[in-house]
Amino acid sequence: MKNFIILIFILSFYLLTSGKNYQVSANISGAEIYKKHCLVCHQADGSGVPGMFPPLVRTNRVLGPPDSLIRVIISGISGPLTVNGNDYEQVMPAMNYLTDSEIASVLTFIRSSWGNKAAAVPVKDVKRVRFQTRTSH
Amino acid sequence: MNYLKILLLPLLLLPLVTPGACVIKNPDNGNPPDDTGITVPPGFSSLIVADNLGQGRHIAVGENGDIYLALRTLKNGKGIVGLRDKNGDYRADSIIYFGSTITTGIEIMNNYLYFSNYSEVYRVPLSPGKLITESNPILIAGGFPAQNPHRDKTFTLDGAGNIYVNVGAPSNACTSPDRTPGTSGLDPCPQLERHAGIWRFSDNKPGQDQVADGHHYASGIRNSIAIAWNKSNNKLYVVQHGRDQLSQLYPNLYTDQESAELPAEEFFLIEDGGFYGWPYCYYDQFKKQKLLAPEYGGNKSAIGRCADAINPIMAFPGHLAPNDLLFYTGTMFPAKYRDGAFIAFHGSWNRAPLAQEGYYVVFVPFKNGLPSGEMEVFADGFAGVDPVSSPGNAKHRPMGLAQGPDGSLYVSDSVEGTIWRISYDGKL
Repeated sequence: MKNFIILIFILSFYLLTSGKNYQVSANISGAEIYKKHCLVCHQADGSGVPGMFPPLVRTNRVLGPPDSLIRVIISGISGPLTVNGNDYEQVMPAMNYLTDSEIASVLTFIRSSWGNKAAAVPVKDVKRVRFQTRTSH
Repeated sequence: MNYLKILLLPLLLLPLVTPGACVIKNPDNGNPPDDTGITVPPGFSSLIVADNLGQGRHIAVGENGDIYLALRTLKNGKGIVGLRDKNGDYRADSIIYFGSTITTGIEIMNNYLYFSNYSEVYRVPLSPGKLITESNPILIAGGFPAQNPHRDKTFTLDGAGNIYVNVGAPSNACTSPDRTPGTSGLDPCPQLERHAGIWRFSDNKPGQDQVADGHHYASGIRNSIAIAWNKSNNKLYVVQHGRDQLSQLYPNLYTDQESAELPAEEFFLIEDGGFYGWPYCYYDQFKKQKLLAPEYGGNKSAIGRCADAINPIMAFPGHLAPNDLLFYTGTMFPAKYRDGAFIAFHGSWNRAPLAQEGYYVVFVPFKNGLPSGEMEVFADGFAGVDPVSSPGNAKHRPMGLAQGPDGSLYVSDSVEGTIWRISYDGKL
């Protein structure tokens, strides 16, 4: 009986904290996806590379409504691209191999890092944009 | 063994880099008042000719000391800035903007100013005594395909009636789509027909077209913004921007550390008709061998068709971004610099997550048209931060090189458009 009570305690503690754990792991995975797929071009501080890859900090493309941002991840974009008055000539490959939740996580990470303060990107928005991208072809 | 070399490389560079780092780390502490932000070897000194000129590219200096800087983005609606020193202190007193398009390459030959944008090369006669010319520019070579990226059409002249134009590759490694994991290389690479090589034209015949009039001088060169004619042996040399992202595109084959160091930036002696390897091959500076690129079935050791590609005369660490090359013909600098090569390394972006590297001007001694010693960092500290964590943090990036009529060396900057003049007086 005593063991059973301890088990209940452990179980309830796990259940209470697991939601929190989920939140933490979602954030970590956004950072990890960024590191794996985005960092080499857009840099660890999101500042990009002058003339080549645009910055992800303090730009309307990143901080504005997320649909166009989601579309860039799914379909890619080719330069030259003008961001904040500067030209960037390199290509952004389509990353449609990322899952909907991975795209939501990494965009949420980008929109809340390096001084960026924009709303999280919900998975349902990624699903909707991906569907629109498919049907528009 | 390779790992050992990779680990040792930064240590080998350390003594060369450290003098610059000393100044950079203490910008407000003990610097002489005329500090120019860069360090040069003992006996040399530097001064700032002008700054805040715009986003500089290549630079040319005339026989009368007038300076012309190409601008990657228009400033005041103009793409070239002319500078003149009127009182003999080598600092610009007269600064005039002209030219209606962005400019990348710029050279002076036989009293003509040659300049290029992303698709054409023009020339205009210099007016005696005047900083800017009143004539209309004449198209010398054009018809290059509109491309993106690697748009700069930099060039060099041999003084014997020819101009050699660099046409960069419009991709990383000739895959479609570009820079996407899991895509294999197009074979044969169709981009080699009009890109990734050097085209030769007459330097005085108007309206030449790449296909109709250009001689396809060399191919398999990914991008050679750094291009120069060596007058000591009348040969063409370039330093290539090597391919990017081995570990991002092939994470099962390469570690991030390997991808930061590989492949080498290759220094080529160009022969007419030569094939230098891109996109099928890259140069591994640790194995000292051209290897088959992973897009073409490479596995980090296979050589295959790369046995037939011409090897570099020297290999530099990966991703340093060689953006200009100059063979020194002056007599101001000590004898060891004569006929040697200065290279402006614009600085890396894809050594992340490691610290970036480059952002300096190096010197390579030459003998009989080939390197006769290791590269040494000649001018350093341009970035103003050390280490450079991302390229956007660099205050300045060395971009173009030119030799003054007295044998001094001019360096241009792509961030704010600073121009430095480096001279030698032997005072220690």
